[in-house]
Amino acid sequence: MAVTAQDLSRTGSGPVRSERDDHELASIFTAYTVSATFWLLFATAIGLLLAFKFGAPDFWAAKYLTFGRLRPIHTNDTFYGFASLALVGAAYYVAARSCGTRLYSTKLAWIGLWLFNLAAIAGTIALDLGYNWGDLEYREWPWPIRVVFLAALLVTAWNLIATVARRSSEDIYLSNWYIVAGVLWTIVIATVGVLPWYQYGLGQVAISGYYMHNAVGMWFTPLALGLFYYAIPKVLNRPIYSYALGVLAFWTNLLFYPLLGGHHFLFSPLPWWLQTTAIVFSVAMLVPVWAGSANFLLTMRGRYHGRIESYPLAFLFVAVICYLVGSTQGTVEAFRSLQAIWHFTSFTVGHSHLTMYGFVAFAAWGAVYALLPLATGKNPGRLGMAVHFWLALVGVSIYVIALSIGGTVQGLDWVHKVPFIQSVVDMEPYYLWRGVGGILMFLSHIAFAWNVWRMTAGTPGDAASPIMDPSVGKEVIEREVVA
Amino acid sequence: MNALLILIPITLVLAIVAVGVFFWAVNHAQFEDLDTPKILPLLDAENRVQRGLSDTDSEGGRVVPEKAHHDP
Amino acid sequence: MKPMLAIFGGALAIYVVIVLLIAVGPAIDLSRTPAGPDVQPLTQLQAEGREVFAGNGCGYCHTQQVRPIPEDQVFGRPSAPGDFTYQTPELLGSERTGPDLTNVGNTKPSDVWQYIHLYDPRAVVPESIMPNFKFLFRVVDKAPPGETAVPVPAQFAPARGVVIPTQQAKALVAYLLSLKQTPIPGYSMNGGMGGMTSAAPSPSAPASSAPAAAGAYSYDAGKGEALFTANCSACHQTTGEGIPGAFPPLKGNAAVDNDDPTLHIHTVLHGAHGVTIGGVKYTSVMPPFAGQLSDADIADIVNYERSSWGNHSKHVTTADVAAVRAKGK
Repeated sequence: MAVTAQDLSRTGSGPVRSERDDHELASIFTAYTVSATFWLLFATAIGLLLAFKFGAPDFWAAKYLTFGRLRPIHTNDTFYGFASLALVGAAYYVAARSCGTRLYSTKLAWIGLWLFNLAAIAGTIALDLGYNWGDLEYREWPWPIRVVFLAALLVTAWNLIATVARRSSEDIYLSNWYIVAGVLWTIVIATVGVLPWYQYGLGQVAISGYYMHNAVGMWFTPLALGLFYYAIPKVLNRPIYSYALGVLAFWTNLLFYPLLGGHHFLFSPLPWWLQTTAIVFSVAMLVPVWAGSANFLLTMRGRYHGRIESYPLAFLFVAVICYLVGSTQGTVEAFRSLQAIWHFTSFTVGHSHLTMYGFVAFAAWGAVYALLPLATGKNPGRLGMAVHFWLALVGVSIYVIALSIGGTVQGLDWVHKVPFIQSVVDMEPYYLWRGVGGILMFLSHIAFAWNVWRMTAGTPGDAASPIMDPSVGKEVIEREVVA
Repeated sequence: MNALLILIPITLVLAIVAVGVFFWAVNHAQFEDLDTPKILPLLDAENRVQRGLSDTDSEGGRVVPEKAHHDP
Repeated sequence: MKPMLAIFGGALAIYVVIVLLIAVGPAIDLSRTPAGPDVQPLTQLQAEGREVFAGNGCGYCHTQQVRPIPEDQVFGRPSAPGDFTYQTPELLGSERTGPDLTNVGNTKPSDVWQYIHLYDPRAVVPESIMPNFKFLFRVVDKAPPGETAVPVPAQFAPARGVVIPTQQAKALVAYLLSLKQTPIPGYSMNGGMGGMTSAAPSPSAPASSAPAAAGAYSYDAGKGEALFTANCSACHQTTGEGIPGAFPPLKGNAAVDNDDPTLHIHTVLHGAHGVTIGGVKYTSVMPPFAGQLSDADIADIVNYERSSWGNHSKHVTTADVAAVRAKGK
């Protein structure tokens, strides 16, 4: 049965939503997704060029194309251009729909979109001109640009909170906890990162450790998890396995995550207690990570044989697995004995791609494939999603495996005290494989862009509705219940 | 080591506050109903269509009507 | 849970408290860390160079922190809190694609080396994957008065004209040469940690000093080559031929290929500056190694140099090195 959003909107539930509201929500979701897609293509094209430069350091070594200027452009645009916009766009849709209401203000959402884009464009230009605040991961932009980003967050928080306040049920669905809290926490992070009074010398090192991990774990993680709690039940047409487990993961994530940032500076001159605290809470993070992952996987139970039939679910499944594996790996990396080998090596680059790409990007894609067709009434093509999924999955696997092995080799070279240059020479094949993985990943993004086109302005494709038939896998659950 | 002299009292205070907040939440029925909110994402029409329910038939299947909530 | 304020307000309040305790509080305290002994603020030129360093993202491949673990010993003593008092923004870094630079002003004190390396890293380190920074240099027909051309080796030099560093390159090199660890007596492994680390065993360190102590020195060619590669080849090159006009050759060098090892050992121990070798005057600075290498290590290096690239001169012993060291500069 072919169902379009137009059919559905007419029958939409809730007292405070009209067809026009649905249309506006769809355009906001579309605009954020299209914007994010642009930044994805741009930032990963830069990333690919950077990977290439490891093998050909003199290639395009001119001033505005030198490695050290493009490297922060790649990371910042991936973070603040692609991932932030993709997640916020889907979060607006989730907030409005799970609250059974319309978006509080379409205008504010547009202002937010312009501010996010303004920050990313200005940041890119500033970094390319050599205005780098000091090679501090993810906060290289000069401070006025980071204030623009902060303004975008404030607008987003206001809009989301006001939307949740309009909800038609008394309960606030868990997705909104993660989404709204994530935006509020990030406002704190961005503010702490900008204020200068406590950022001198070693004091700034303490803030860097805090900032670089909280910007990841209190921004992208809660937003992606918020999308999981909506998109996974939506696609499976089945409620989340345990709401209570989700509540537990929310509060434990809040209590444990902010404390682990110092593990980026183990063995540094930062106070010893600060480093030990970071290690302890890196281990404590296993509680929310395993509780959350188990919850998602148990929601999917009985449907594993069918997950390739639904690419939205396949993306979400990979994202959950990478969340589980990547976060657990993060805990392991925080142990002093292992950090002595892996820190400063390419292993950490592999880890950041396993989490930011395998988890966050796959979560964003899964949410877009699951929800954007519901908003616009246009499905992408099955082939397009298949190409995106397999190229991205194979690409990131090659990338992460190559850098994990290479990083270990690099670390062991240092432990054995061979001349430093030997570790550079030994990395050569792994840098090559990183480039191979990078090419596949970039090609997959072109497929994604094509799919976004078909879900929005272009001709719809042949894929079925993202929502699966609820009877699939039902017998498995019933069997469990009987047993 | 001096850090511990500050950190232990702070930790104790925080732990007491956390336990207090937890009891407040339980006593104010915050955990009474953890089943109803689960179905919020599935209340939309598109899920009912997939489940073979008509638009007006909001009581069919396992879907609970959106107005269903339990006041403490 | 139902009330919006309890969820969002609670989550925000808890987060703010944690952030004040774990980040802002410690940062206020740490911002007041007093400077270590002899740690100086940067000069204006050095500070300008620091901006060039950050602006071109040098910190993404080069760390500036030495950890108190054995593998970091090659980069200097462990970093101390007082080292960073004048380092804002901090440039500790998170990746070591290239070597740590904490002490590069001591280990590569030659501005000539730094210029050549920036102009084309592969001119001095063939295996390097660092990009060239030719955009920090100008190529002119003839060096204007007051400027010195960079002696780039012929195969890496532009087809015509000479290479002159721009103001940015000068500032950057001034900054790099300012990166010198100041000595802190008694501060070594675990020094900053109150002995709380369980330091990993260091497999190679005792091996080098044990035979020396026993007085039973025997030349180990493999070790000599490794030490040479790590400490000397950046300038003198693995071919022993140096860089014409910049770093003297060791191949056929009158001090090296000479049965009297005194000058050879003395140079390795105490460094050299402004010497004339084979009729060429070299302006580059050679750093002293007396503080970093044991007598046995220096004997290994000296013997490697004395028996490589066609050099055939008498080997030295640890005792010879100790004797020259005892005489002082």
